[in-house]
Amino acid sequence: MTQPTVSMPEESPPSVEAVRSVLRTVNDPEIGLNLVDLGVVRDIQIADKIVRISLTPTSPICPLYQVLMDGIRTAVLAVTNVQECLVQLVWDPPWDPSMISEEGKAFLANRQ
Amino acid sequence: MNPPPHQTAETIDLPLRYFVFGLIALAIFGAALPLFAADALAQHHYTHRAVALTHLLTLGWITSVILGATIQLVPVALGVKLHSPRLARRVFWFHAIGVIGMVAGFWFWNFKTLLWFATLVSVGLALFIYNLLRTLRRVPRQDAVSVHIATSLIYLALTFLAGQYLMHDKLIVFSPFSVLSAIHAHAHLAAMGWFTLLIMGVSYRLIPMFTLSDIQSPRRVWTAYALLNIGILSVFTGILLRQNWLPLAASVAGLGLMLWFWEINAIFRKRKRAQLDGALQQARIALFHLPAIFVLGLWQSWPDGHPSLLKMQAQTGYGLLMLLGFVTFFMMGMLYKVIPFLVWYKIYPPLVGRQPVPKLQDLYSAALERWGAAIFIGGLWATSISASLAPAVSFRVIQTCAALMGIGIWLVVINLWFPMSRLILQHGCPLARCLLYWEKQKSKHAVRAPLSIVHAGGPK
Repeated sequence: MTQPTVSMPEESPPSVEAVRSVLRTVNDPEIGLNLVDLGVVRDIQIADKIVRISLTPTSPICPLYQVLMDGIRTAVLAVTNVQECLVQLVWDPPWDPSMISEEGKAFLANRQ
Repeated sequence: MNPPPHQTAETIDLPLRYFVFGLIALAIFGAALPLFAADALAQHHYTHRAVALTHLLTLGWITSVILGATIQLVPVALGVKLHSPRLARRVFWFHAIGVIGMVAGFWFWNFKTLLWFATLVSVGLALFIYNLLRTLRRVPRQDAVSVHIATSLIYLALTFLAGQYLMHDKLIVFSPFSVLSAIHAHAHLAAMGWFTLLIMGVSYRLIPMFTLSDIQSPRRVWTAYALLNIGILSVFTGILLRQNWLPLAASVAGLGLMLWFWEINAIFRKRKRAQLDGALQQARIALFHLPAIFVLGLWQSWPDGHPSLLKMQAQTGYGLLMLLGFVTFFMMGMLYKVIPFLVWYKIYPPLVGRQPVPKLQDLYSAALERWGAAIFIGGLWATSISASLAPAVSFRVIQTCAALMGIGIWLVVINLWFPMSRLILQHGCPLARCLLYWEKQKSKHAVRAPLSIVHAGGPK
């Protein structure tokens, strides 16, 4: 995992960008693409050092959703000034390949 | 929408057990065919060694893998827990011991031994069917996948009843049907009803999931299902009773298969993953065997008072393409997905979010995957053609082709063994287990006291 390099002040709340950045280090093991570019991270909300993440797995039968939820929580809890991370599954509307970012589409197009 | 049930130890260990048994059976088949049974390819297929190896392939390899895959996939794909994992565990031993005894019984042509072990397999499969039907009953919304699986289970039961009938007829002759016709009818029930219908059902869930696509035409899915079922039942009856309308029945079944082929290709074409990995390419190539199988099947079904030697020998090529080119090659492709997933799921979840974890494809060799597939398919087609042309083609040539196919099989088995050996190293070796425990404990503490990760882009 590529470790980010810039520290944050001790008391400032974590930024959405910082959380998004750490989520880019968690990959879907089947597709090989990180969760942000895959478009499965629907929403990130931060309030009082508590991070709430909405996650929509690529398929309702995705057998990895629990692992990914745990992985997200682990990664986000390691962000400076995050006290709690709550990951919520959102199934409606379902994930759609159009949610893949441009970087993600380029990655999938080039990947063997 | 309800989330799928979480994978459990049962749904990881149990399928692996079946997969290991299946891969061992496939490896033995790959070695035994050129070494001990190449003569069966060079003559009419009804020989004791050919029958033994066919059952090693169909029960030892194909059925074992299907049983394992069903146990793993049904709870995930249909959102229900397996009715009884304990029963599934028992079934494995009935199946494994029964299949070994059955293959030995056929090899030594000892029908009393065979009967005992076949009964053991039948009991195991009956328990499996019961377990799975109870599971399927709990599916909140029945769809194409659950209906295909449930129907294939009915054909599995019918296949075994037909097999028991054939076996009892060997001990006490009573059947009014020709032995060869009854064997061919039994084989078609297994190949089309049990293997193909199950593969169809599973493909409607797995192919869209892996390719990031969707079912393109539900109407096509159900029409294919209806045509194939009408086709299977009429092919079975037509073969058994040697009816002149058999080509019509074969056409209906073939049309169903072609519709499925069309739908899966449409799913592939609409995929969002531009590059297909080796596993998906294999599954797709396996499907391209269907038109050839359809044409050969239609030719074989054509009424012919005195079939030519070529037509008789081509039955071997037809069987090889069906069981190995289509069913086995499709299953090999899917196993490159399923086995690494199970191993990954057993080892890496505690590390996700903490450190880099391998992708599923990193757990086996992509080069060996390509070489194994190419040698296997090359050897299979060479064997099918040379066996169909026997005796114009010499025994040595047929044996060499079968050996090539066997090498391909071994490369695939070795490659699929890589991820499983990682699991054995991690969990079978006490030292490795201690290290893994220590690693987990260390990771837990790391989570409790984080605050050390720093970020690019954040305020300084």
